[in-house]
Amino acid sequence: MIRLVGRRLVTSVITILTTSIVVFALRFVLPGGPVEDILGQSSGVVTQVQVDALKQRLGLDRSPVEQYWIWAKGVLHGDLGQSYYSSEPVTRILGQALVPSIELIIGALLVCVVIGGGLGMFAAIKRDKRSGRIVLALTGLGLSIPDFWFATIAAGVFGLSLGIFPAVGYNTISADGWASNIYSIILPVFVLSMVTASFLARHLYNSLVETLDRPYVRTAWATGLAPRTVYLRWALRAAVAPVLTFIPLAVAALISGTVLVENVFNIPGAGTQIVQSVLHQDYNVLQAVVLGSGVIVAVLNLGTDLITATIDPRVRAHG
Amino acid sequence: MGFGSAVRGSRSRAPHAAAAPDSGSGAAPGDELLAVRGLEIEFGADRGSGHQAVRGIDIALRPGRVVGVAGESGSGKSSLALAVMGLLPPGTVVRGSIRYDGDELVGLAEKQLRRYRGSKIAMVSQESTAALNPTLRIGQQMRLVLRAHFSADRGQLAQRMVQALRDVQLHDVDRVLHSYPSELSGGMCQRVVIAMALACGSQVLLADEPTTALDVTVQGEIIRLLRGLVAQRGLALLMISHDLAVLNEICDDLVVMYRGEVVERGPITEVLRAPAHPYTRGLLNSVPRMSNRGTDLPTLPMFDSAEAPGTGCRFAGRCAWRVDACAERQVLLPVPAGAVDPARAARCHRVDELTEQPEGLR
Repeated sequence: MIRLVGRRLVTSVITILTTSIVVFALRFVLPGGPVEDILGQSSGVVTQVQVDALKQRLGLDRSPVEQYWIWAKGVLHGDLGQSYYSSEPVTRILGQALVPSIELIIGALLVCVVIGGGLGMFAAIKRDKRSGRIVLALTGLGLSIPDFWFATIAAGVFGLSLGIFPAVGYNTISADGWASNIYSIILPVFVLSMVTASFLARHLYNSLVETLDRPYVRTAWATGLAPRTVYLRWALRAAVAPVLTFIPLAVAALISGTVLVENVFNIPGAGTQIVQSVLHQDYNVLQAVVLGSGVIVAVLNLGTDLITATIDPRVRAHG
Repeated sequence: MGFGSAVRGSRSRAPHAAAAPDSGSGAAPGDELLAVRGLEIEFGADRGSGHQAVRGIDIALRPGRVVGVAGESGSGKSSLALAVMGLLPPGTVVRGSIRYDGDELVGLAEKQLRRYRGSKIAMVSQESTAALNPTLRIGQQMRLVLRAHFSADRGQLAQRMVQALRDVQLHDVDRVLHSYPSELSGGMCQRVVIAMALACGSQVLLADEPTTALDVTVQGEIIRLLRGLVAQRGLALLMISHDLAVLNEICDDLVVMYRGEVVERGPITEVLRAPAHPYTRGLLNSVPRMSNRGTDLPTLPMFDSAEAPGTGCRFAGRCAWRVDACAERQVLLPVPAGAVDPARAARCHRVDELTEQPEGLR
């Protein structure tokens, strides 16, 4: 077990390091740059002298390796640099943008696990019944409906036509209180979780159906266990282990999903920030957001591996 | 018992039918713990294309006795065990009667059946390691099983678990209870499976190929264990196997099944000494022996599974003894040489000739 932890820890560090290099390399691959963006906004003729002066001020005149080294040192000290665009520290920008995004992701993850997991279990247990087949078909629908279309339709129907939820906007906890805050993100959370919840539901369905056909589940029935015990105590434990490995993948999908959902519902989160920083070639902000997502996914992967190993001895043996 | 009703189950118009004698073995029907009468199993009946896996089977289990069921894959022997447990897949139609100690089980609701499963009738299946949950320790699995039948505190349950494992001659009980199935050998797993099956007091055990996945030494140990449980506890054991040698080690009576029907039955020593059905002979001839080393084993002609079971004898297509009469279905006929034991019967028109020529096959 300790060897397993050690090995997975090393993998995580390598993953994060690689992510940071790739992310940093992006600024040299993309056309244009912050200098052009900043100077382009001021009308008039831009001279080479101005460009060089700005490059020197931003540290962009150094070699790529040097730039990476300076940036990486800063990151390790908790300094993510400044926004080229607004000159604000990236940490402050992120600090504000992360709150709504994390709220959305945690909310959506809860919906995925509770509703997605519940539907998957239901479909598997009732697989010979019509109700089970209907639920399975619904998850298939959830998986195949384009999320950008669903987001717009949901905002239109529930927000504008029915007026049950606010169509757009985000109420902060500090200004409007908890209830108002949660009320404002219910619709975005459901839109965000639809695809991933369907994905998890189908995975759990497949895994549970396969498990229910195993000889050891027949043993459980043959010893007279009640259905509740067979499903929840006997089969689910074995079925859930392979599904758990998809949780980090689900979180990654949710993180990228926030870009769309925040833009449709006009929520000032990290997803909105990412779009703006790309438009402004604001590399420091972009790098921070992408690196942050990478770290979250890597940490989740590590955690999931450890949880899987705890509940399934087969993984421990082969890990 | 069994024999007389076999005729009823076969619904034949043959004149011999009435001649079937009532069973002997010196046992009155009263001491039957499990009585299967005229059992028919039809798969996929709900989808219109029904496949009849078992037709007209009678089997009776008594305390302290072992009945063997022999047959190749597809003969319906496993379906028989699953039918008794009520564990056939949904959409399967079961007709006939299955009585446990007088209580009719056919047609019982799932909830009522659960009162019998595991506490009155238990089942052990082939895959010893795969029959245990890989994600739970043995102790956790046994506790769940015991809790389904007893309301007792942790201490009492633990005591019962230890006792159940000792009963199957597992010694390192503490280690076993804290192990996952993958940490135990196949033989140990099979002992645990038997312990789990019997922990709640079942008096009837249906063992479906319990030794097939094990190596020969362990096979012998498991058979000795089962024999001991039958002798000490008065367990009524149904032993299902394709292996006549294994059955010979443990059974009192033998039932040979072919494509869902009983083709021959009787005390196992009699059946194996002088098989009265061509199929049983074929099975017996294909058992490797030291005496026929070096020669090719005789095999039965291939079975054409596409061939629809017509109205006649189901074995006719592969039978060296086939005559015109085989186009008509035969009932179980008493075997003349079995006058010693009237429970002896075979489903063949030429049973008289077959008994006169004990070695005459080929």
